[in-house]
Amino acid sequence: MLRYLLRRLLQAIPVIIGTTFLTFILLEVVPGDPIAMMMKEHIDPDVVERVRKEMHLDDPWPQRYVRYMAGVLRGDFGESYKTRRDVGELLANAFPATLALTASALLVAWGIGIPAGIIAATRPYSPSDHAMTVFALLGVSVPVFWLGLLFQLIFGWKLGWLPISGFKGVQYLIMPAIVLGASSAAVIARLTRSSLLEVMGSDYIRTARAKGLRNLIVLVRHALKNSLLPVVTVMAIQVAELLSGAVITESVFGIPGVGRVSVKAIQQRDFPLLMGSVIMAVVLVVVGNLIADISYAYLDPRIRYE
Amino acid sequence: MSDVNPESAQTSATLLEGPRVRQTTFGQDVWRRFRRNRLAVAGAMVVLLLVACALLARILAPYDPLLVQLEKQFSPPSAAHPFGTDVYGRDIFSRVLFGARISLLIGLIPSAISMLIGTIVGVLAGFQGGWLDTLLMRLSDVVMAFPSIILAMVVTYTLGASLFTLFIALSVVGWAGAARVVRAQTLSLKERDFVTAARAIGVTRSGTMFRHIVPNCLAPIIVLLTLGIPSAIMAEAGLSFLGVGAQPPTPSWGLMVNEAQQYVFSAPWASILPGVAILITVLAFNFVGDGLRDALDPYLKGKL
Repeated sequence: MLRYLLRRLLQAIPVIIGTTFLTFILLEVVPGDPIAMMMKEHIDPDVVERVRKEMHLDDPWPQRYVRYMAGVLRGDFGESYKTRRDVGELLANAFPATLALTASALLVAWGIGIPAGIIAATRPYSPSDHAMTVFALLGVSVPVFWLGLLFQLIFGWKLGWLPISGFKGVQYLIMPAIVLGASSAAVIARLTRSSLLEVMGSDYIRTARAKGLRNLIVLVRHALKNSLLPVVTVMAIQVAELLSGAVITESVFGIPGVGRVSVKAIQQRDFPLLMGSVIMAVVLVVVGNLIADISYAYLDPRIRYE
Repeated sequence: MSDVNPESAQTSATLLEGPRVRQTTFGQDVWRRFRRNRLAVAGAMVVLLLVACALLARILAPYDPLLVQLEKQFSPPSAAHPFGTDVYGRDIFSRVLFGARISLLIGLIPSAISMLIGTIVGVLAGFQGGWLDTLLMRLSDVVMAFPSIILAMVVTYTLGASLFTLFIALSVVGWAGAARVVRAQTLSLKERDFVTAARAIGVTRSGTMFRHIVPNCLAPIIVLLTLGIPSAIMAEAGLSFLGVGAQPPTPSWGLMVNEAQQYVFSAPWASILPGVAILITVLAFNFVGDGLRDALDPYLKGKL
């Protein structure tokens, strides 16, 4: 297990290097002078020259990439072009909101998706199964921002049950978490259903039944653990999807998270800020993949020996 | 694959000949299975309707989608304006019709491009193996580690926010998943006898790849393409909603929701109705994609 863990950790390194490198190159080819952006109208050529030197903007890009990454490893993400504040600090301030949002959305996704999938699989082709299928298809097809607006309109405005936007407490997270988690819940429900149906058809389940065990016991003790294996793998993909959705959800509900920071960075053409938020998102995805792989290896001993 | 005619095995003469088999082509078979799926057929009809709306937008739309009539700002839905008007008094119904053009194009073209890239990368990686395989697969790991919206946003930063940028951004994002699937398929296909036979009679490596292996990967590629369309439409809508996609006054559905979102409580139709258009379109394509997957290859169920 330890060797497997170590190998997976080592495999994550090239991915992190690759993503940062790709982002750096993509952002590097952008025309436009960051100094001109920072100083607006009062541009004194001497000052520009001095700042360019200070920021090493004249160095060739491989050198700048290495310098940037060396800084990141020390926790130094540079300074925002726009506000001149420390990017690491800006991201650290935004991170808790994004983490709270995605974690609670994941909770919603699992809390709704797995039971819905189990109910559908225990009564295949029944009305409840069909209802689940329809809801799942709706769930994967609904645009996050539209669902968010609809929720704001109904539960925030018409019914007044929940705060419409902002981030000042747990009740502010309820709507965004449901909105963001909906499509993942749908994916998980469909997957749980198909995987549970497959497991229920296998020989060892027939054996368990033949022993005279009750349906519920067979389901909970024998079938569920194996059928949730593919659901665990999907978690890895879900993290990336959730982060994509989080960018939009944060914008709809005015949550001051990493997504908002990255959208602002694009609008203000703030390279260090965008680079920092991309790194943060990618690291979250890689960590999500690692957790999924590790829990998969833990649940299924066959994986460890591959 | 083919239906056995139950009448054929009755006389000894026909027994000697063997059962008479009704020949069906693969295409007929797929169509028969697809037709049985009611949701998929309904989805296909909605898609055809959308294509018609997009093609005939100029004829069907009662107003110019860009026509500003400030005196009519935020008229609720009525006979004159079936979907109401927006903040500039533009007719939302006309804008939604024209928006179908953008959504369908953004759904089709980048998905097709990324499938093409994904197929080439996948078949090269799987067939050639070695360092090329390692390199291409690590590259796809890197692309897949990005949340798709974030990668598209990075491309937007570089090229500037526009519809054209979205075409490129979404093509860049989508290929990695397809490459994985095609590579896996290639790995199993290249051990099969027909590939060995092709190699033995002197077919070149590229001939083997593109004439013998790729056609056998078409089923998953078509399924991935149809399922890629709704996700591209959704991504365009999301990016335009964030303001980093289509720019005003383009009648993009996502952008329409963006422009109307701050008035959602006073003029809900202006943001909710374009959103319904996105929902219906994406839903229809998902139905078709699901139906095609089951029809093309029932074994793919649960894998794609």
